Parts: sequence; C-alpha cells; structure tokens
Amino acid sequence: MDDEQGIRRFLRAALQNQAYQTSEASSGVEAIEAVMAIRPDLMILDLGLPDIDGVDVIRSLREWTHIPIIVLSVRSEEAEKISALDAGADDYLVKPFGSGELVARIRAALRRVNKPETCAVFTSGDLEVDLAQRAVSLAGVRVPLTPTEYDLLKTLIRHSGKIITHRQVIREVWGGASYEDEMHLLRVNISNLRRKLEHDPSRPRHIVTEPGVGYRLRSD
Amino acid sequence: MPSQNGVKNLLSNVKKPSTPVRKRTSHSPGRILAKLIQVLPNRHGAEVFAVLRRAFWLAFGVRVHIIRGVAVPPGSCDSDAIRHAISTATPAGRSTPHFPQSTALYLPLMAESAVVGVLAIAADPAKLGTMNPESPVFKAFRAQTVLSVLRFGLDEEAQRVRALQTADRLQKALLSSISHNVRTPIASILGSLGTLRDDGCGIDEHTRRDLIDNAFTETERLNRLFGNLLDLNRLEAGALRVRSDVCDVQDVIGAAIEQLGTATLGRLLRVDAAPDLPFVRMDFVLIAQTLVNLLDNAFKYSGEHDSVVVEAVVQNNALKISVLDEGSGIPEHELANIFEKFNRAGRSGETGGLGLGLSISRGLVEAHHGTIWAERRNPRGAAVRFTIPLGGV
Repeated sequence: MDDEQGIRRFLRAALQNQAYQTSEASSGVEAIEAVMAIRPDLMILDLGLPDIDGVDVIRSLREWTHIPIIVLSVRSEEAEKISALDAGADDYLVKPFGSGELVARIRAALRRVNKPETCAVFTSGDLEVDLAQRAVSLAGVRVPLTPTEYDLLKTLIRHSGKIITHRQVIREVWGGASYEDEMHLLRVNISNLRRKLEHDPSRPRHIVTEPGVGYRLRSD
Repeated sequence: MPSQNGVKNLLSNVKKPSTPVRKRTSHSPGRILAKLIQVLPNRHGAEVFAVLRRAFWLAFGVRVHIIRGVAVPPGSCDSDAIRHAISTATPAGRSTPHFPQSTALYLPLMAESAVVGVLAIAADPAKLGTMNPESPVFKAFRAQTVLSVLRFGLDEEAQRVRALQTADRLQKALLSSISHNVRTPIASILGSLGTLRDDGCGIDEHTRRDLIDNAFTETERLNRLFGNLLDLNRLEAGALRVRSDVCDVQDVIGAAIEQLGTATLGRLLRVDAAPDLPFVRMDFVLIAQTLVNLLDNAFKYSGEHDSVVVEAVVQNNALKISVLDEGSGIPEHELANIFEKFNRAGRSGETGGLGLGLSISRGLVEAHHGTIWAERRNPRGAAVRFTIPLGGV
C-alpha cells in the first residue's frame, strides 16, 4: 500500500507481470481493513503514509497475523527501517528500486512462509550447507567453521534472502546480553566467515552488508 | 615632553593583550586627541574601543567603558542610571542628580539628537568634580567615541550584508547549476521515452534497448544528484547525526563499491587494505557514502584504462583511507579549493554533476573529527585522503 499513485501503478504492473494478484490501499486504515478482508499472502507497505505511522500499522497487524510485510522507505532513513524491521516487517526496499529487486524480495519473503525450516540443505552459488550434518562446503571443498561461526551462518540461512538487523542476529546467536560487546563479536565473526566463504572477501557475494541496518544472506 | 611618535606608540600599544596598564603621565589632552584622530581610522572592531579607553585614561586619568546601542547590558550594576541616560539623553549616575549612588557617571553618546550609546566614566567623585564633561576637548573625545560607535555598527552591518551577498551568490550558483544539471538529464529521458512512445513501431530492437538504457542511466544520475542535494542540505542545517558503531573497514569499502554498481563495470579498481586493520568506530553509512563520492570522482576524472586504488592503513592513531587515480590530476593551486561547493575547477571533462561530492565528503569526514585533503600523484593523477581518529566519535 502506498499513497503515491505512480508507485502503485508501477508496482501493479511489475507484480501482475509476475503473475501475482494485487490489491491496493492508499491509507493505513484502508490497509488494515484490506488485510482483514482479503487475506493476502504478502503486503508491501510504504513507510511515508499520511494518516498513520507505518510502524504502527505493522505493530497492529503483527498482533494477529504473520503475513510477510515488505516496507518501502526512502534513502538514509536507517532508524526508520530498523524500527519497521524490529516491529515485525520482514524486509525493506529503498526508493527508487527496480522491479527485479522487488520481485526477488517478495520471493524470499514468501519462501519463508511456505517452507519453514524443512530445508535440510542450503545452497547458493557454490556454497553448500548441510544443516543436518553441520557441514559447510565451498565448491565441493569442506570449510571448517568455529561453533560461533556456524551458528551465525545458520541464523543467516534461517533468514536467507531477507534482511536481518544487527540486533536480531545478536539476539539469535548470542542471546543479546550487551549490544556493544556483541557488536564487536558480530563484526569479527562476519569478517571471518567472509574470509572463509567468499572468493573475494572485500566484494562479498553471499553475505551482504546492508549499511547501518544489518546483513542479508543471498539465496539464488 | 614626549615626542609625537611616543604618544602614538602609547596608543598603539593597546593591541597587545598583556600590556600592563601604565601609570598615567601628563600628556596634553589636545595632543592625545590629535593622535587619537590619526590612529583610530586604522583600527577595527573591538580594538577601536581599547584605543579609546586608553586615550581617555592618558588624557583625563579616568577609566571609561563604552556601551554601544540603546539596551542596558544585562547584569549591569547601574542599570537605573544607564536607562535614565538612554531614555532622557541626559547624564546620570555619579555627580548627577539622577542615581548619584551609581559607581560611575553615565554620559549619553549622541548622534544628531539620537542616543547611540553611553559613555561610562568610572572615577571617584573628587576626580569627576575636577573634570568638565562639557569642555571642548572632552566633547571632542566624546565625538570620537560616537564616531567609533557608529563606525562599528556600520562595519557589523557591512559584514552582515557581505554574508548575505555571499549566501545569495551561492544560492544563485546552486540554482543555476541545478537548473542545468537537472534539465539536461530530464531532456535526455524525455527524449528517449518520447521516441519509444511515439515512434515505437519503427525502431529496431538494438535502438530500443539503447534508448531504455539511456533513460535508466540518466534517471540514476538524477537520483544521485538529488541525494547529494539532500545531504548538503542536512549538513548545512546541522541536521546530520553520526550514528557511531564498531565497523569493519573492509566491509565499508565493500559496501561503497557495491553502491557504485554499474559505475565500476569495466574499470580497474583495486582495494589495498592492511590485513590487520582494527575495527573502527564510525558511521558506516556516512563513511561508505564518502567513499562513494571519492570513487565516483576518481572514475569521472580518469580514463577507462586508468586504475583506481582504495588504500586503508592505520597511521598516527587514525584510520587513513585514500582513493588514488591516474587521471588528469588537480592543479597545485586548486588542491584546497576542490572541497568547496560547486568547485570543479582544474579538472576538465563533461561530468554532469553539481560539484558537491567533495564538499559533502568534507562535511561527513569533519563530522567524525577527521580531516580530508588532496595531493598530486607522480607521474599523473590525484590522491584524495581522509582520516578518522581511532579514539572514536
């Protein structure tokens, strides 16, 4: 839902092109009503809404539904994105974005709903992680990881394709005792993981940094 | 009798802040007045009043304080007397019928029957008794004081006007630059889309692709331009908040390269980061953005076969990041100017930007208490370097 006609038109075209059915709302109130009435599989929500705080809409929805929510925001509003994600949004897109990115994020968000944790092996490019065997290999070659590195990778896999905020990762891997100390550990472990799993750690293909927000494990 | 130069020197000494107040020797007020009139035009700002105070002391043995304007200075102990002098344009304070318990005598400074300030004379009643504020010499001193007050006010006004004029000039330059740099891509986009819409059928696939790519690239350029404008706006409004966090320098560099997207395609870009770089406290987004600006510049001003290198080292307890290119370089005299707004001097070539990137970069680096500068490279090219203190922001 978006209050901008132009954006709604473009989204409709892009999504219908991918054979998604769409329905539109142009205000927070309309949106919540629509979700209740139509029960869509996913919601795209623009954070710059006129009548209600987008984050409030997310919170209201999250009280009774797990529907995947992707938020649209403008550049440089990291705090806003993080609030939305912490309130329960699954992912975000920064305007302007291409339809390719949008579709990729939608797929990732829907995938999570349809296949929760049943996947025993995660593959992306030449990275293969056998969750049952706790085995990680790159182009067929086994890569040894420390327990923390593995937990971190597992967390990223759990959210594969979607953004996970620093705070979320820290909470899931370290239990979130102290943000400060854990932030340091997070950076170190991400750095180590990249060194082990990326062909060029300075240009990561798998573990992507979302500046100021968190990380995303790309899934092909 | 001291020489004329001696008197002038006495007045000149007020420039030095630690000059002890000398015991007054007998100089003729008339001679001091003559020197005062000679010296004052060469003094500016607060110095003027220091010279006046010294002259009063030398000529009459009184300590004066000059109040500019018609507002009682906050915290004044004789506010009643001062207020009286201002509102009635008559002397008040010591030795006058109005508030004689005051610590000083307050004489209004008049310019064409308007009060422009107050001359406060702090002296014991005996001294005040012997001094005649209406004597020609004293009135002449008062006149000089009035002139100085007026001149100071005019100087301030002139400074304000100059500042406004500069702001106005920059505003005009900005508008003119925006106008050109926005209209040009828009024209290109309209042209491409218009052709696709109107002549759609007659165009071959290759041309169609070209037109679409062109519209896309130009729109991306416009987007970057608006981003820069917004950043500059936030920087100047002081609305920029540095969200400091422990950062992996490699990560920041990687993120910047990622953000450049297609601009890096086909270009020789290398990252040279020391393997043992510590994590540094900084704002990930802002520093990544600084790098994007610097890299964008490096690409703009160098050829396709020139290499661009990003270096990161720790030096003098600071993180030092450098972007090196092999392009046309920056003339020696422009090295400092390139960080000014709209400045693209010395680096030729059609770039289509607003010339704000480096100015924004400087703002972002300085928000981290760091420094940024440019150097020439041998045999050719430029190096733009910035530091971030390791102590954290």
